[in-house]
Amino acid sequence: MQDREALDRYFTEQVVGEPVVVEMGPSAGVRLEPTRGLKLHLLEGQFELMGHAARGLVSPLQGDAGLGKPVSSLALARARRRLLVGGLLAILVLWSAALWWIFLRFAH
Amino acid sequence: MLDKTQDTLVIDPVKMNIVNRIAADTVLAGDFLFKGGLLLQGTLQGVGEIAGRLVVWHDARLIGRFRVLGDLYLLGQLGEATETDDEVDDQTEIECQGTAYVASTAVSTGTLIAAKLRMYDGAVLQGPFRTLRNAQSLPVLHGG
Repeated sequence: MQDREALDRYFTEQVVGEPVVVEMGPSAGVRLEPTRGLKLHLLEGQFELMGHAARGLVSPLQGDAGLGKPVSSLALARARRRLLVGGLLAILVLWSAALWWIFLRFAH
Repeated sequence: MLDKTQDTLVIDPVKMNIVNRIAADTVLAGDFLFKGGLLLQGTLQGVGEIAGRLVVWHDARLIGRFRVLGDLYLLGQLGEATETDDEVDDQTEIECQGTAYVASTAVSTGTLIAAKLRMYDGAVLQGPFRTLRNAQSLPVLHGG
């Protein structure tokens, strides 16, 4: 029996095509018309960008950045750098705190 | 080579469930119901519904009354070409239940209705844009 899902995937790839990257326009000067407040909408965008950046750190294939939602590669790279530096700082602080706690516990 | 100052969009037909395609130089007219997303590279004219995402490619044209149940990516033309810059195509009305992404290459002479709009510099919205209210996007159930 044929695998229906595999067959569908094959035809989609063959007929509709393989993944493509398209340029939407300049990152600066994007106009938004949200249903909710603009601030909330922008925050949502920031969270989305951080999500893409985090997935990109975990996956060597850069996660699904830009899949179905246009992203700025510059902003994405900046978000990844921020996450990396923030993560390293957090690890350093936690490690220092753990060492300090051990020192206090066994010093007496 | 992609320009880093530009926003880029990845279109993966398999992951985005874009299972239908109208190829370049193809002209279709009539009533349509597409199950799943549609990649439009030719011309589609008439009335219908796209139960998924709709990608209107560069040089593609969509004319008539269509309802898109997912996001809309407009890189080409929406509505008939007009002779003057302030003319509107009254016959074209596209209702998008998701976000309408209007690229810098896009031109719309019809009416665009969407829950959210993201428009890039250079895009031409010659026709009106209206925000789709939640009450409009949800189906109303009548008891009885």
